[in-house]
Amino acid sequence: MIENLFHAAALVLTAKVLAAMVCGVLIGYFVGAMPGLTSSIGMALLIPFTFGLDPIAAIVMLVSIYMASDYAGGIPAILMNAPGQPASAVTAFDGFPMCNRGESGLALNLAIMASGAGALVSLVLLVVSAQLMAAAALAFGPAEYFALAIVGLSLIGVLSAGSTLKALIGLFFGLTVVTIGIDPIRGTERFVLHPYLIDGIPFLPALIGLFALSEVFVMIETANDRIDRVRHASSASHSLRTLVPYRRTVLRSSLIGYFIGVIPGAGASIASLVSYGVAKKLSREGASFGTGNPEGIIASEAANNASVSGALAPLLSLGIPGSASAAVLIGGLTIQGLQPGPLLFADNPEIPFSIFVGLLVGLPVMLLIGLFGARLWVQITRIPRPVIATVVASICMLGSYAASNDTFEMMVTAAFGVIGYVLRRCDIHPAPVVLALVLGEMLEANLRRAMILANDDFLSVISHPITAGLILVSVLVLASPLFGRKSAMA
Amino acid sequence: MGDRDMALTRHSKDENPAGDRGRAGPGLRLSGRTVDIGVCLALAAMGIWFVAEALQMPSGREALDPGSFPVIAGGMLALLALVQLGLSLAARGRLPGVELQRPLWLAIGMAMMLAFPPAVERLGYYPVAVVWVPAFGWIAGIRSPVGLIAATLVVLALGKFVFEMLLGTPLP
Repeated sequence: MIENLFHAAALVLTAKVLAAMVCGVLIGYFVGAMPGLTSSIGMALLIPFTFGLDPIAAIVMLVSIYMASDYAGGIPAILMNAPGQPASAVTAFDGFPMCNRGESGLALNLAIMASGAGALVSLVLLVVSAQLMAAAALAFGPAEYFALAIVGLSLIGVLSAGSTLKALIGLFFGLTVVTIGIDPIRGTERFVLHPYLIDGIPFLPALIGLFALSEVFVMIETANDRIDRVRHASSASHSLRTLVPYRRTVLRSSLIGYFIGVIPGAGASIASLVSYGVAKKLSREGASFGTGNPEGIIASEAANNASVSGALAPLLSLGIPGSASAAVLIGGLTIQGLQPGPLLFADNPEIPFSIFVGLLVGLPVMLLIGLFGARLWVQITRIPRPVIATVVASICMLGSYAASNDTFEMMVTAAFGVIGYVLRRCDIHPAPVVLALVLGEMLEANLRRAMILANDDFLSVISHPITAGLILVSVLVLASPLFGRKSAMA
Repeated sequence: MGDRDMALTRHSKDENPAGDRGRAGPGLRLSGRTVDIGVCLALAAMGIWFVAEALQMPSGREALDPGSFPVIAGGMLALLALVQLGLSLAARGRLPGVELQRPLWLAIGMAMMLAFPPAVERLGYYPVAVVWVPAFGWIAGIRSPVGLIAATLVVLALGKFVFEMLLGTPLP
């Protein structure tokens, strides 16, 4: 492991990769600070820009965007009560009251330092656990991979925000769409209504449409909405000692964030909410949570950022995305010709280890930009949303075209943008659709391979010990809302 | 960072460059039930179509042939969409309404996005972008000429310097 880390450090510490990292951090801050733009939108838009980069620079850039946007989401949450990322909504509970008391500088610095500490703790856990998970998964066959995909999809269906039924509809919409094209085992054409669809629905244009373009339509619709803007943030100490009194909260929240992040579908929002709830319960000043208690900001931000590394663990070791942003990252890796999963550690160890080193090296960069660039990020929130919508719409089109130099891909983006918007208005969020697009082929191909190996005996496929255990987990997860309803009624 | 404390400035709709409600027209309020019914019917129809097409695919000797997975996925999509449809029909008046703000601009924006790829294919990227970007910017709510020009220049520069020169993507 040490040898791999040193090798990765040599690859990351080059001018090209460091420049890509700084660009990623700056873009991540921009995306995170702009309410309406999320890390998944930012990454989906930026993937086309990574085509010309070598794989390590490209992946480090995407991971830096992911990390930095989660940091930056707290900035508008504290200054405007408008979270830049969904997970930062919890930060606003105490951040905005502190801002109203004239302590915005302290709130911002605490948020950034807690984010950094959460990221550091979770990075250590990621380095250790991802390798262990990958080593265990090397023994997996098609049956286990099929079960793993089932677990991922069931968790995503249940843990998504809003109605479970609607999340499942989104999931099956994605699974249905993913069957378009050549079938993965026998090579039969399926639903190929246009010659361009022979390879299936192109993933990147669909991703850009569902996440970014559908958000552009939301921006067009809400162009008249009133926007509160901030002029200045108060000054405050940049010393890391400010965080020392809250070290227990930082550690606890980081652990909560990491382990929730590992669960596919749980994501940063649940991590920060659970961490906030636990901190409130255990704090001596729990009653003051929600009125501007710094501990509330720390609990939310440390967990929120720790969940990023948590989401990377199943992605790198098993090929299962832990969040919507991680699903986008899979798109970025695939475009570079890399397949996330246990074989990534065996065949291309420089990739996961470069991500680890990139996260470590990027951390001080993110902290410095966050601590000393608050004024710039405040300025960014002033860019009118119609301008952002226009530029993002154009980047959506250019980016999807760049995927294969074909205007058909632009058409796919436009169509999925409209579909994504309509589904959103019906409370069907795009995340389950995208995750189904990612996991659909893995699910079908491995089930069919397992069935062939088991002479078409389905019982034999699901009676492998690991497969049976994983399927049991999915059944329990799918049934969990029923248990919750029963206990609520009792 | 100065010692001044933070100050909030509230921008009202009148101050917002896109705040011309009169031109935008009134918002469109649809009942949540209507939206659910429309979307669920469309999704159920899609699921049924996939099942019907998949059933006609050639089957092999194995238990799971190329049509099996689309039958399962499409069938579940249709089933769940119909369950949601039933729930929405039963929840008469209890579903929150869906308010579409600036519906006209939204529809034009969607049409413009769908028209962009064929236009680029026929006329080329730059001639289309010079007209399309300011028009889309207007639809999106930019009302200042400077904003429209700036957005257009940013998009043209992105195409030329980033995509064509840096990434080597030949734009049509």
